[in-house]
Amino acid sequence: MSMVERKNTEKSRSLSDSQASMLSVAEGESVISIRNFNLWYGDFQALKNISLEIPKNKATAFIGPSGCGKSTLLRTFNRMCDFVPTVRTEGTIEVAGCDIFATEPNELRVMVGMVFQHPNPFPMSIRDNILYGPRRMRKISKAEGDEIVERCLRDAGLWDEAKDKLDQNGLGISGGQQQRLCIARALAVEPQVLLMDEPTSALDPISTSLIEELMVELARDRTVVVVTHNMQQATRVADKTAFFYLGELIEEGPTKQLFSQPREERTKDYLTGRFS
Amino acid sequence: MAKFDMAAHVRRINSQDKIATGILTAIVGLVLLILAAIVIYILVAGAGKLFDVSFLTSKPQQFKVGGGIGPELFNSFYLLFLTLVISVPLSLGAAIYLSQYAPENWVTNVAKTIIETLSSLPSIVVGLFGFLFFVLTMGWGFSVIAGAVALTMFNIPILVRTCQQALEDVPRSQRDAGLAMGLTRWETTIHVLLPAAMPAIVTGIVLSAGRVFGEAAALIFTAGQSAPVLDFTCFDLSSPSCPWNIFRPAETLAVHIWKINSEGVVPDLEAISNGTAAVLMVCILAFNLIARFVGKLLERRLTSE
Repeated sequence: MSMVERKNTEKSRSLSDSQASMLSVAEGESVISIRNFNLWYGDFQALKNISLEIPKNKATAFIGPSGCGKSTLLRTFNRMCDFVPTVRTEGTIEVAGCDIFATEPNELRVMVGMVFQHPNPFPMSIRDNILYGPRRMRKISKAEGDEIVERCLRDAGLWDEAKDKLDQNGLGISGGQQQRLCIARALAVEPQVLLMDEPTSALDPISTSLIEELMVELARDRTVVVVTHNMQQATRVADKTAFFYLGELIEEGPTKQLFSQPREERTKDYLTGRFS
Repeated sequence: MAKFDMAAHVRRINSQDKIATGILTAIVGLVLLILAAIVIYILVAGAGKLFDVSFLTSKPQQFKVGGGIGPELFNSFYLLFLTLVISVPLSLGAAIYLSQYAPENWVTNVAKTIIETLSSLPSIVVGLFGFLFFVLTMGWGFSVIAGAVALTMFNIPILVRTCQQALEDVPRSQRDAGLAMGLTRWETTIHVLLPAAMPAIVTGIVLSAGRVFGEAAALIFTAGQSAPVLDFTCFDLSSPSCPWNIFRPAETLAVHIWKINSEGVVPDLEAISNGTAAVLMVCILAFNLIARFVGKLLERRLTSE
């Protein structure tokens, strides 16, 4: 059954239900659980029978060569895959206990935020970029808005650089700053899970290390899932790492263990750079 | 096997490059020369009338020397305004649908093909269709509104394409940003895509305005070839001398040029048609400059302040 059909056949749960069940998950326990999940683009099977648990308030990294399905899986968590017309799925993915395919996608996406490979601020001021999400859900007073902007920019490590130019356009700052603005924008709607799809691959080394520190910081009170091509990045930021190859989940485990004592031959080969 | 002579090879490709640069520069130079010659000829020929306020404001004469183009000038702008009022919302709506909502199926493909075909339709065909349908069948007579609707038909295909292109040129990542935040397609379009595409859309609209402004064939049989004397103190919308009356005939600058050259009997026919051409060209030149300026301004607002 396609995602769209599923959406229509099952009654969606309200956001408050989802958030309530989210809060009931204890730290370290599984907040996203993937069971026997398969995904096809047309005839091509991009994900093969994936089962994986993502722990709450930890950083989890997905690694693997290009085309291994790691981004596809990440994009399924907030149903960005719905926008590919030929996509077909099988199996279940639950976020905080609710089936994501039975949840209204726009509600799911408020709960599960996303940061992309290329910084993509909205064509509006820094302040409006951050307040866009909150303003959609309720009326925000000036004072409350200022408070949200400051908190999110601080959390995204951009406050000192941006505090004097909040009315400047978000597209007018540097790439690394734009990416942190995108993180701040995602934080403003207080997502429980933050998905990051190769968030540093378009950035310079200094911006990259800023964002890596940020990921560690962010994973203290929310769940972070990051797709990365950079294995050092995974070791620096992630508590847990999963290695994908040709649509299969080859191996997963605590980052230290996966990097120091990989169980699988293919993991070993990838980590030592024998294929990429 | 012969030894590869690197130095000779470099010499050869360098001279090829020089020859190509030379030929291309000559072609562009020739094109520029021809265009500049036309522009300068029109401006010089019409210079005497171009700065003559009474020519720009007074009414045309039927048989005597010294007629002006006041009503035609006003009609041109009024028609342009009405045309844009009708065609911009329609085109923008269609472009948004085609670029964001339209499913990939044969209906959409047919619509796209029709739009492309319409954009190369000769304007005289649009004019004659307008004459048969709006002027005769609808009974609007030769009128501003018949002209504006004909120009809309002529303008929509181009505008749809420009707007569609502008929307599609917004990086995919920007659209993803909106969707990933749980924005609906409509919210994403209005708050993310449209602002980002605005510089290109505005530039497209102003450039299409230049085309519409200079159009003659589509108007000869729709807005008509007569320009009633306009009385700007008259607000009786049914009176032919009321400038805002959309059911009065309205000859424009371009139609005026065509008409006095084909059936004019005034003795200073040539001076008037030269002057009118110069005025028309200055207006269109102004549109182009405005398009560039506004586009750059919006672009700058979008990316810096």
